[in-house]
Amino acid sequence: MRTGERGFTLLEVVVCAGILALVSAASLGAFAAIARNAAPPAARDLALAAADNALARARAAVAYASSPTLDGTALLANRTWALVPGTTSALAGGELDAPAACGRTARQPLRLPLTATYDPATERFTVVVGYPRDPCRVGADGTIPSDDLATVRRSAILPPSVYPPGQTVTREVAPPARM
Amino acid sequence: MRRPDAGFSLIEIAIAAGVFVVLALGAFEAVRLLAQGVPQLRARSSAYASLERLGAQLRAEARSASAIWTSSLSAGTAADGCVQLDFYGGDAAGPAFWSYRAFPNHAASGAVPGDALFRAAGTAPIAACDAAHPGDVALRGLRAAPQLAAIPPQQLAAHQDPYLAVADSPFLAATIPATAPVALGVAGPSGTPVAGGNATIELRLDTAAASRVVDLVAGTFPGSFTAVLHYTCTERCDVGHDDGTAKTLTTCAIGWQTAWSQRVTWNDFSSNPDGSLSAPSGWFIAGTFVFTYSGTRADGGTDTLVRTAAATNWDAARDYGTSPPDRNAPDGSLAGSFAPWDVRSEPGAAWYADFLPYVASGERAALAAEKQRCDAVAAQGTAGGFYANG
Repeated sequence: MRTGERGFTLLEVVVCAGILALVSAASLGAFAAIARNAAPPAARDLALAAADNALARARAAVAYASSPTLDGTALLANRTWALVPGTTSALAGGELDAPAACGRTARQPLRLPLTATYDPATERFTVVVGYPRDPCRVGADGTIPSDDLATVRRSAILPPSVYPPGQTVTREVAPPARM
Repeated sequence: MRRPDAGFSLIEIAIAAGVFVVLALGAFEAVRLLAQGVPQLRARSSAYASLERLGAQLRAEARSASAIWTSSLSAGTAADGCVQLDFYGGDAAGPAFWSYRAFPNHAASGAVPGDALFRAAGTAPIAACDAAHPGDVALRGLRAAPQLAAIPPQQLAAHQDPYLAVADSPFLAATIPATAPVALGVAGPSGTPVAGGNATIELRLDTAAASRVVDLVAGTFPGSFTAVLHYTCTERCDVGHDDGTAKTLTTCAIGWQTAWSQRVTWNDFSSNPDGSLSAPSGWFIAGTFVFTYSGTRADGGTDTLVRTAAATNWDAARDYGTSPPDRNAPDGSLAGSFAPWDVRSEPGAAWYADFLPYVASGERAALAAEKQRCDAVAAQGTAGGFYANG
């Protein structure tokens, strides 16, 4: 037992300093994580932009192509649905600003998994794009670890366009009674 | 071992002080670096937010536009390397044009900096890549010229991601047809008609803060489609065309003019109980139904048009030898039979209703058609307008 007037031994001081160092290191790591999270949610924004772009292309396709089912006239006989029914998958790309917190200096490429679903019955088109929760875990080629995947979702009702731009529509009408 | 009441030795103090100094220096450096990075982080965050805002603004503007297109890159001077994205929209307030332009070959310190994206707006078409045209800076810090691509409809399904260069639109059908540019009804700066509305525009912006691709599709399609009205002439218009003094028919009246009438006693006698003979008799009548249409000319005047339809119950096609006129015709109708009344004094419409069943079979269709026209015009009255066939 140490007596009340006894000082710390060197071993005690060193152990104490070591503990302090460990706590400091952990704190710094926490600060780094906080700083990383406080940065703009760039990966999520990229995913949202990819989803918006997919939605824009779908909207354009629907506007330009018409459905053979609505009008039923010969005008539309050779048209088809603009959107592929069911679920399709693709990759959307992006670049993440150099995440210094991850020890990188170059922009980080991202390969964002994109899933589109179109239900002809409800005319609903839904895009789901994945993004990394922790950009530091993204592979060098942009692949996102499956256990780090978060998603954003965009959805819209896209009814088929009966008369796309540039289309000539012929209507049979009776004129006013003139003689 | 130290004695229990002994203090730290000099060497202990020195080591402790050294450790403390090292830790303090490290902490100080860490804090200094953090403080030094704050303005940069703040600037980067601001630049990033600007890019995000611009992307959202472009999408919102696209939704209100009727057409989006890219001006010719050969416009402006070669030194500009100009890139221009044009928007057009129109409403009751008139046409609206706005453009985003960049001049990447300009110096960053110039009056029109090369690292800036400008927005110009007006009610008339904006000359392509005119650096002198006033505009506001929409984005600073461009690292490269904005990249613009127009994606025609038929190429949407084969679209490739601009970063990965792989197909990214498997959800689009491959049979989307090509769409011709739609005339916007306005002339461009050079006087040539402006057309558009048939492509999706892909814009890529690269700044020091981030890189972003925005696909833009006009939300309001110009003119959309061309409607060709094929006029189907029905009973309402087939009265008689007179392009020279066109008029809208508003009324129709029906009248009757008797040509001749004769009471006929048929030689199909029958014996009466008192020994006398009775012969069936009735009227054969011939005349003309007169349909008098009235129409209003464009100058407000009134014109009339008279159409006639002959009618008689003397049916030359009927074999009266086998089908006497006091009985029904072979088809069961009364066509060609005696008209049982001397009804020449009836009003035209009433006479038509009474006489039509007896009219000779060869005349009934024409007469009924004219009456149908007359009724259609009378029903339409002065309302005008169109009857759409479905």
